[in-house]
Amino acid sequence: MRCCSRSWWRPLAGAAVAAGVATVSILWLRTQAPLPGAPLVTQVTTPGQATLPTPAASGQGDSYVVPRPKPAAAVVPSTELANYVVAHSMFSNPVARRNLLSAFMTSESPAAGTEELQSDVKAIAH
Amino acid sequence: MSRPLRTSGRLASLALAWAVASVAAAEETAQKRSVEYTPTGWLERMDQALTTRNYDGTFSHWQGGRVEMLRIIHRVQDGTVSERLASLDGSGREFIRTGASLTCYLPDRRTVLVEQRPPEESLVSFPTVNDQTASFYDIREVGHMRLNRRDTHVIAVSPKDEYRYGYRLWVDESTAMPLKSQLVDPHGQVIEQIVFASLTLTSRIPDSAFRPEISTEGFQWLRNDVTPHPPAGASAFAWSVTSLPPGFRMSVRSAQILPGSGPVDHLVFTDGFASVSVFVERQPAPSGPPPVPESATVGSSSAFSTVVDGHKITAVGEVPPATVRFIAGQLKAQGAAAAGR
Repeated sequence: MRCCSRSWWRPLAGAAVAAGVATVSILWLRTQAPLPGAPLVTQVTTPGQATLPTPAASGQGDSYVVPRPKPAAAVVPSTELANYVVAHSMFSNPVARRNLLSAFMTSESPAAGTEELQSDVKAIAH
Repeated sequence: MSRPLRTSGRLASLALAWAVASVAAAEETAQKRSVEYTPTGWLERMDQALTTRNYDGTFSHWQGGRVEMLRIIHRVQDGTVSERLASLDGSGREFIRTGASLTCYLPDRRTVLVEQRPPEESLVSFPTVNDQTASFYDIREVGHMRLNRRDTHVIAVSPKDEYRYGYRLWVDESTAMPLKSQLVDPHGQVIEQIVFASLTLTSRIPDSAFRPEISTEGFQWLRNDVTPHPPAGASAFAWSVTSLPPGFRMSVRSAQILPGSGPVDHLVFTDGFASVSVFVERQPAPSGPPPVPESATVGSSSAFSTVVDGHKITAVGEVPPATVRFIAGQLKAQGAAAAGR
């Protein structure tokens, strides 16, 4: 009888300790949670997709550069187009030919240039 | 019959013959004049003047808000056409044509392109206005005015649909040279203009006038070989169009080699005024991303490229972009080409 009366409080004490630990844990976790209003950042990276640094992380302003898509291959490089224009001009009526060649003379030089020429043409030293 | 009566009979016969001859001559003169002075006649005379006369002129070229001065020198001597077109400002590019050889000096690319055509193709015929042309354009004289102290006839060539551009031409009355020309879109808006500031017609132009002004030291020279007949790689292919814009027909089909390019089939379609060239070239197997159809413009001219059955199709012409796109899209391989792919 005595032994029974002495052990009755043990489950209560265990429950109290467990409750205390849980309370402390909850309080500790709450201190680690982000502040109200702060953004939640989830980084999901997919293959081939650029990740943009957040302004807070990089310390830069609110601007970024959209990654340039890989350009599709041009069907006709500019030099070939020049060839085609010149070849076509031989079959145009005189007024159209003058217009066409004049326009070609005054057109801006395309960005594509020497490398392209060297890659696909037969060059002859003169 | 008495002698005086016989004499008067002869005189009457002579008078009648003279009258008939006079009427016939007058009719012939009137007929000739009416041909010369119809709007179509002015266009024919203008084409003839541009291709057969010797001239040296400076003109402004306006397009897309840009104005540039150019010089043109043209000579026909002993049946050989020589022409030099030079940019007086801007790129400094020059074109010099002598007979079957066309040399393009591109100082901005430090490159010279030399295109040599077979002798039999040196005198290439250009589209000529005919009755069929007139059914797709409204050709009329819309004025007679002074320009640069010269009397000119203003001829308007207006397209009847949106497959082609129109022209307004100020044709010099005495020489038939176009002193001013405007290219207009199907809505009548001017998209390109050429106006001569000076023009001299002369009987003799020295050879020195056809030498380039720029130094080509260090330039890369690109030439095409004289076209073999038929060039290997192009002759086995037969290409045809399933449909064309109204009035267009194929006028030329040839195989050639362009500078910096392989053998190409060159097809020319014309309505008698506008023309479109289609170039077909074997496309090497793509190593990167597949090519996509693309459009380009050179001045007011349009270009469109696409790939069909492993061949690169490029249409170029002084027509709206939709027209080159349409024609390029109608090209189909037949026969050996279809079997070989």
